Amino acid sequence: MSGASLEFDGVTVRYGETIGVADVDLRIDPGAQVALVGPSGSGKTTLLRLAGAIREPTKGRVRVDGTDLSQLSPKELRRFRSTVATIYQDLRLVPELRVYQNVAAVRAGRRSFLGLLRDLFLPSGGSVAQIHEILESVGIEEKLYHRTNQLSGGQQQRVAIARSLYQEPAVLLADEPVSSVDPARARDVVRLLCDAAREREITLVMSLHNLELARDHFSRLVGLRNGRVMFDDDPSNLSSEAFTRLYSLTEEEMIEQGAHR
Amino acid sequence: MTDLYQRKLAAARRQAWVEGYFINVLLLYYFLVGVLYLGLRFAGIEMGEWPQTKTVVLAFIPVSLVLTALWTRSPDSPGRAFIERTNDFLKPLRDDGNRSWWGTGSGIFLLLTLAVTVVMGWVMTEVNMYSLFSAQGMAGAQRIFAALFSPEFDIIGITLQAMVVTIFIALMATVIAVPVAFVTSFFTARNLMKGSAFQVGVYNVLRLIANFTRSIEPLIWAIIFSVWVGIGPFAGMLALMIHSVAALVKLYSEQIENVDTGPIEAIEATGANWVQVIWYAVVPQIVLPYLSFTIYRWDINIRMATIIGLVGGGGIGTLLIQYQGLAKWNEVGTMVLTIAVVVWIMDYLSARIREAIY
Repeated sequence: MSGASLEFDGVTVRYGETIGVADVDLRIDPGAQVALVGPSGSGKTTLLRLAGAIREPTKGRVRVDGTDLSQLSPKELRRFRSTVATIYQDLRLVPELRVYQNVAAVRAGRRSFLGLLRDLFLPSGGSVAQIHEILESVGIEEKLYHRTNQLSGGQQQRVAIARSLYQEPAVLLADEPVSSVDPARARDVVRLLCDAAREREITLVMSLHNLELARDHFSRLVGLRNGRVMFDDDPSNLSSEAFTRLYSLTEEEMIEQGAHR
Repeated sequence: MTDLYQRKLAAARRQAWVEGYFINVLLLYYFLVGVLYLGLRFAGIEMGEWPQTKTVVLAFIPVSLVLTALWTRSPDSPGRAFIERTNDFLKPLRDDGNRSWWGTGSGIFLLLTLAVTVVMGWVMTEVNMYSLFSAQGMAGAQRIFAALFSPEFDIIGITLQAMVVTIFIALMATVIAVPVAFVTSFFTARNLMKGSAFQVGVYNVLRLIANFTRSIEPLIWAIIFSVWVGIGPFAGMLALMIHSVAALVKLYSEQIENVDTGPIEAIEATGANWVQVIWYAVVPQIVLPYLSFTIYRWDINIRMATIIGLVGGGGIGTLLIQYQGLAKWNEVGTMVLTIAVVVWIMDYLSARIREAIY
């Protein structure tokens, strides 16, 4: 499966009184790789949730491959979600399951009830061979039958990546995938994700705290602040002031922080 | 924003006053009736035989209503203190300072009420040291203990047979209850049943049924079923089964409510439906605790099975009540000993197995 295009058309999300994202216009081509950068609470996660149809916009439209997500019936929505894989900051694996079961779980939406039963107790040969192959590509094939909670944090991270690839998505969303990994491993993980997405022509959208990583691995950075797009460009065209402005505290925020101390 | 807050605050205050007043009325009325009961009792009069009882008890109603109206003005009155300390809006606004609540008039009243309650309990349960330690009482104790400790082993054959029946009554009750409770528990877990009004409705109905069923003791169920299907092991099994379903539904669904929601959302986000989410994200997290609860339940059911035999549930309990009726205390001793040994073994095994699971 090749990548899908993503379109945000005047999208606003409100959580009660607070604003998640405000009037965002964004177009991401099929197979493109985009990094979302910006301070905490700038709307990165909200954008990812919109793209995965986990959240509906308060205003505006989100289109994936030209389809308006708000027009989908519940059944179509589930089918759409099966084409979008997400990697979470806290991984969200089931610790009690074995690695291959955790990986197999992402295709749950495509399994019959009997298939589900069999998957959990007697995994079929074909799917295990496929899972083995994917685990090989992230370098942990020997952990196929291990309990997930017996793996190290770094290994679990790779399981989460393998799981998202096994889903054979058209869009891969990664929400701060390396925020709990040490710097050397973080680079490996980002590179692994970028390469895997490129190889499979998957559209990749990743939110990152680490600017350096974003600049080194992505040819397009979208800077967000208070839910608004501050810049959207190739990192080589972006001055260091642009980044400073993105992360600098506003006067209000400084007062607020001062008050907290 | 502030307007809304003020309005909600005013509403919460009104509600706290009404609820607090209600609690205070009940407390005061209870106290007055309790004091009346004790007063009459110490004067040697039974409350039910005193001609003025009805008038006085009725007169207490307006008295409590009026007095409580004054009493509830104090934020120290138990009703208001209780409601305001548990209400999210009013909790932060309460300033009880450093003084001791028990030293206030309301605190002393509550202590007095507790004292009246304990004395009433003493009187009503007819606590009587004389019958416990009199010569006649002691002779009775000696007779039954002597018999129990010299068991008649001639009937060990039928005793063991009945014991085995009892163990299987408990086993079958558990085996049948587990799948029923397993399936039901997903529909009685709040975190899974919040999707639509229909789901919330199903949740509430099933919870209500389970709570009601659980509040009826297996002993009562055994009486019901011994009339329904006749005295015997089947009645006992049904009684234990129905109570086990209700108890396991509660334990199971609480376990579901405590699962990690991360994997659930993650599987949902891959386009899985309700059943698929449960199968991949919920079931793996609950299997081990379920197993532990189930073994524990079987353990409880074995104790229960001996008891419900007494009211017609079959097994060793039924045998025991027959010999008790004939005052064959040595035979009863054999059975009591057998029950003790079996329960002890099962208790030990259940604890060890549950330890091994975790």
